[in-house]
Order: sequence, then structure tokens, then C-alpha cells
Amino acid sequence: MKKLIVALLFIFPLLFVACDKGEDETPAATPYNLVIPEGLPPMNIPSTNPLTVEGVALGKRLFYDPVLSRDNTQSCASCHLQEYGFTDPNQFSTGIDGIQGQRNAMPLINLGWQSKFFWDGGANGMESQVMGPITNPIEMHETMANVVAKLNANAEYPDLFKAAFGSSQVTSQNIMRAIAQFERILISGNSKYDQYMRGETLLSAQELNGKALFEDMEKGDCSHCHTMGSTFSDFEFRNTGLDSISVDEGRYLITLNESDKGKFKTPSLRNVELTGPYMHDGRFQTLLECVEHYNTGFHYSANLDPNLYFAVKGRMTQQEMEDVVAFLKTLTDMEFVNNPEFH
Amino acid sequence: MKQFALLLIALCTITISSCRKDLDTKCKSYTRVNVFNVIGQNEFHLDSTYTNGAGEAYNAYMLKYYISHMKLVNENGERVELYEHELIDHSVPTSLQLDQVEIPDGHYTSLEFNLGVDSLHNHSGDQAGDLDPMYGMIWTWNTGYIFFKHEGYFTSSTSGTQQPLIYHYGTDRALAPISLPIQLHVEGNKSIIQLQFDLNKLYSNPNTIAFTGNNNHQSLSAGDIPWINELRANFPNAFSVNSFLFSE
Repeated sequence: MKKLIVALLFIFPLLFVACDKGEDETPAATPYNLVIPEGLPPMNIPSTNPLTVEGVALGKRLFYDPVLSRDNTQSCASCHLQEYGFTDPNQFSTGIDGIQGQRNAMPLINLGWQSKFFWDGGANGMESQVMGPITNPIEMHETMANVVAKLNANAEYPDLFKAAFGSSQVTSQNIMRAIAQFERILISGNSKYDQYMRGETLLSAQELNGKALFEDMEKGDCSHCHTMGSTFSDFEFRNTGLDSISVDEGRYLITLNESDKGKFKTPSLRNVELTGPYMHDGRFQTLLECVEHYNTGFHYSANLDPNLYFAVKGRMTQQEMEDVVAFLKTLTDMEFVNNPEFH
Repeated sequence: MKQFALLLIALCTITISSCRKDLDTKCKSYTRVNVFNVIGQNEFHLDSTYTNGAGEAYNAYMLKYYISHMKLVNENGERVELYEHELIDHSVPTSLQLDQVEIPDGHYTSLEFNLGVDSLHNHSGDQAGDLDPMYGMIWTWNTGYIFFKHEGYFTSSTSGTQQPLIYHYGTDRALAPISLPIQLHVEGNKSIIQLQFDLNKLYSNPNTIAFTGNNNHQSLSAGDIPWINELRANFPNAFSVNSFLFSE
């Protein structure tokens, strides 16, 4: 009888355990300590996808893993190279089937402050963005279902997903969340410009003049859209007069609003020295060509941004344009392109 | 000592039974929805040939759609939501048989649902369950769900040749609210709701959709909008419902 009691005493707590809904015990992932450099605003991170050490590490691994492409030959990093500010130095990237697109790969810098992704803003949120390049037939040409199957069959990934998200079942949602976590830590905030703003270094006379021209509404008038100070973009969609008739209709393809024809997202200018070629179609090779475009080269069209519509053509001299370029180069952040955390 | 053992046994039993609540179903009502894809009176089959309202022969190798926020409405206008988002995929028989849910006793007079995904859920792929992007029912370059997908072949009325048909129906403007009359009276009963979707009616009532010259729609271009409007008007007429109490 004593034995029975002892046995029951053992069984009893087991029953409680069994009642306690049976998620297995995974230690919660470790919160990631995201350091926002001085001068940049706080980052809005979705409460559904908090940054964790394990999630960021998994995202980084996925970012560099060609398993995401159909024939396992291309990863995100194939067209987003850290040394170029996570973009492709080619005008157009080439996908796994040897096909090129019509738009220049976007740099991945300070994405955590953006809410719409791709040149036309077609992706609502960083997590949703992840599906785009994976499934685009001219990019990685894979299906989410296949990626999920490949990762579930992988010897290592299920454990990494379990560490990051508490379940070893790989899902498309957690793939998207992991990569988004990694992309959120790609922060640039230690350029010469940042150091100058923190009082740690000085800008040259030419750079200072370029900065003044950048902000001067009668001259460069750059900061209207490339918001001064932190993100260097308002992340709005604007028609910058690249063509009088836009071949690529840009934002219109998403909204179907006539007024959005030929509009593209204002890109950040951080590390702009490294992220060429420039514009949504990579038509300009140099920063001087870009500044020349805004000074004299822009075309008038129905949707031309009002700031340009009212801008006087030829308002800057050659020297002034070169000064603006000198200032733009102060946004280069070598710590960002060499950061070992990012590769 | 013996009594102590008995007490423990009793406690264990209580513990077990408290784990499995609601075994007593007498005073509770349940229902479940079974979806039937049909052509007229007949069951629909993938790859079988049918004739649409415009007289064109066609088939489907893929037929999938979302229904969302399916609710029963009682005679007082009170609603009980049965399902949030359900992906119906004709090639996956289990997707046609929705889970049993508990409902309050009462007299239900209509069944409401949307064909499509509501705008709150339509603009993010960061979702699980039936909205998992893995099911291929999402536009990845312009975040939004494909509400209805019919891919197949049809015979062109002009050339007489077989041509591909690609209908990917979606975007917020495409969401089709549907309300169907039902007579369901439950008092501690199990019931089944049979929801029928007639693909031919979708293409004929009231708008006749001819496939010839109209066989490739992704919903994302301005040129797709008239087609979206026609289908949205047809969707409510493509569904019908009946229900019966289930005797065990």
C-alpha cells in the first residue's frame, strides 16, 4: 500500500504538468541591445517582432544563405553587398535565371525608420518586404513554401528557429521576422557628418559650404526631401523629373493614382558615395551627375515635384555643385561598411 | 492510510476530468461548415471541362479562395463569428471542412461572410495560419492577398484554340460581403452548414464573364478594375447555403 501511495504521489504532480498546456520549455530568446547612435530618432519596432540576439543571428544567417533562392545559388547578400552600403554596384542586378530587372538594388541602411519598401513602396513593412526578392522570378525565383520546406529539412535551422522563436517548426512568418530583425540592426550613424554634429571633428570649408548649399532653398534645396539631420530621407514618393514621360510608372503601379506616375521613394543619402549607380534605374554613375540633374537636368511633367517645378534651372555654379558633392561624401560611414556584426 | 490512498485517487480523477472540460455536450450547440464547390447540381472537379455562361469550354487546375469573418446572425440581429480567415483550396479536401465551433442556442436567420481578406489583414505578409504567405495567395511585390485564384485553360471563341486562364482576384476594392438566408434553430444540437460555391454562377450571374480576350487578370492594374467590379457583383450569387441538424 505504501508503494501505491508513493507511486500516486509521483503520478499526481505529473498530472498537473500534463494539464499545464504542453509547450516544451524553451528559454526565452535574449533581448537584443540595439544602440541608436546619437542624433538618430528612436526606432519603431513592431511589438510582434522584438529584436533578440538569437533572432538577429538567425536573420543574418538567412541573409547570407543562398538556400533562399530556387537553385541555391543566390542569397540576399548577392545583390546587397556590405562594402557598397548593402547595394549592388551594377546598374541592374542579375537573378538566378540570368535575367536583369529594371531597377537598381536599394541600399540597406537605417531601414528601421522606414515603413514602405521597394522603390515604389509596394511592400508594407520590413517583414513583408522579405518575400519580394525571394519570390520574384527575375531575382531568387523561389516560393515561400519551398523555402519553408528546405529550412525544415535542414540539419541546423530548426534549432536556430527554436532558439529565436520558441518553435523548431520553420514558418514563413518567422523567416520574414528573422531577416527583418537583422535588417533593423543595419544602422549607420558614425559618418564624418555625424562626428561633426557631435562636436568630435571638423568639416572642411568646402564641406561646410556644401552643407549650406544642401540646405539653402534657393540653391541645392536638397533637404526638402533628403531631410537633414538623421535619416536623410522623408521616405515620401516623388517625381524628380528624370523623364517627361516615365517609362517605369513607379508608385502608380501600387496605388493606381494618376498623380503617382513616375514617383519613387526618396532614398536615404547615408553612404551615398558608396551606393552608386544612382536613381531608381541606376542611370547616373556619379554624384556630380545627380546634383547636375537637380540643378539643370530635370524634365517638366504633370507630376514633377513642386519643389523642382519652382526651382530655377542653373541656380548653382559648377563649384557649388562640387561643394554639395563634397558634403555628400561626409555621409560615408566606414564603420558601417566594415562592421563585423553585419557579416 | 487506505483512506489517504483513496483520496489521492479521487484527486487524480478530478484532475483528469478538469483537464477535459465540456465533455457534457447536452446543453451546448455546435456547428461546422462544409464547403462544396459545384457546377450547377454537380460536384466540381479540377481538370474537368465545363462550359461558362458565354459558351466557352474551360477547366481549372487550381481553385482557391479566402472566406473571412463568417458569422451566424440570429433573429435579433446578434452575430456569432464562426471563423476569421479560411483558405478554401479545392486540391486540399481538409480545407473544405471547417472546424466545429460552439454556438449559443438560438434561431439563426442568416450566414454572413466576406469573399476575401479584410483590409486590416490584407496589407502584411507577416501572418500565420491560413494567411501564411506559404500558400501562394499573396502578391509579394505589392503586399496584398489574392482573394480568389482560378488558373486553368479555356477554348477561345475567336480562334478555337486552347489558351491559359489566369484569374487572380483581390485588392481592398474586391472584398465582397455576402449574406445568405438560413434557417437554423439549435437548442443543444449539433448542426452542419453546407456552403455551396458555384463557379459557373460566378461567371454568369448577373454579369456574364467571357474569357476570350479577358483571360489574364492580376487585379493590380487600372485595366483590371471593371473586371473586379463585375466579379464582386457576381460573388454573392455564386454562393448558397443550407443547414441541417446532425443526429449522432
